[in-house]
Amino acid sequence: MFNGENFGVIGGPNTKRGLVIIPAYNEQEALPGTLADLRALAPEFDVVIIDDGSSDDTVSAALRSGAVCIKLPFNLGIGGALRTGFRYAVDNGYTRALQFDADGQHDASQIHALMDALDAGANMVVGSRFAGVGDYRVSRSRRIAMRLLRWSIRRLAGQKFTDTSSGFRAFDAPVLHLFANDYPIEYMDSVEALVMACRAGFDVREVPVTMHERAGGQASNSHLRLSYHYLRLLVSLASTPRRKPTRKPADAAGTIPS
Amino acid sequence: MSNRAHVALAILVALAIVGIIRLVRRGHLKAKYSLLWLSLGGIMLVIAAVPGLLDWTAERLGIYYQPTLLILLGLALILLIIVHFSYELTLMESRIRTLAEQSALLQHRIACLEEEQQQSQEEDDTDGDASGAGGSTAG
Repeated sequence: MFNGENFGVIGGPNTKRGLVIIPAYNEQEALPGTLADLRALAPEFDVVIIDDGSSDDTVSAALRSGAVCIKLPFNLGIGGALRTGFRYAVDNGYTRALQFDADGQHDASQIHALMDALDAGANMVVGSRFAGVGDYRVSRSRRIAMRLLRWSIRRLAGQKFTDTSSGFRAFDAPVLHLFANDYPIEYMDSVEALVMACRAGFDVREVPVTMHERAGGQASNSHLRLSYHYLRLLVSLASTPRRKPTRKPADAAGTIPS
Repeated sequence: MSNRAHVALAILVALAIVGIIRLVRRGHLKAKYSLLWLSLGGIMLVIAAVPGLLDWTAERLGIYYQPTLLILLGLALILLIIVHFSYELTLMESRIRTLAEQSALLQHRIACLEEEQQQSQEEDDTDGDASGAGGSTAG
């Protein structure tokens, strides 16, 4: 009998499966390798690629590898792409999702380390470059800026993090709900999201990971741009509302529609 | 200010008000926004029409050069209007973003539904009368 079996992605219950969300902006070179890694090392996960208005062949690269690809009509920035991914995860009933970079700097074999932390009761898990493992290097000025940022985040979040800008993260259903409705849209969204989750009362943990050098694409590293975003971030962080804990992490898991 | 200055101001403000009203009537400006500018014009018009008003108010506030009050008042209102625009712009941007995200998700959903429909049609064609379990290998 014909049923939606092979189309479980659409509105079907995906309570057992996890989703890997990959925001991609002009990543046609790196994306196929990243997707191949995911399929080899984390085959039990569904993958959705959010094409953030790329001008290159990102979309066909994604489709060629058989992944689900959602194409934004114009560039929204990584925050907008991620929120689309979170919305997709919630709409399709996924109870856990991963944020993963298209450019190949994250290691697919370490997905399970993040998932283990979710299993251990965390609502959100951040893969940290600086929590022990790995040999990732950043420039000195960036390190100083990151240190200052880490201090203000520690005050706002009430918790210590070693890698606030890591984009290698895992989320459970209540956090997905929060971020599907409200996710920081500007550059350095990851830092704001971290503070948001902490202030909403979620259990956020870090897991040490190694990261690779970027396989392709361009990192946005102009000093002026970085300074601007840094200032904007400080203003934004200072005005992050402390949410009422309307959604208790423990209870919320039961309220998610399947 | 001299009487001549008052007359000049009144004429300028009246012209500006007429201009705003014309924009609204042609549909180039929303009535909502015209209200901001019209109220600014209204205040200016009162100041121009009542010669003693500006001088009297300036004296009460301890402002010795009366036109300063005019400039101060105008500037304050313009800043208010600009802040209001930033507010509207923020709202609009967030709405557009949400729409863009939704349209992308819907587009994908439509594509999936179409594929599903096509597949079910194909299955109907190939299966014909035999509604067995063999159709699962089709794809």
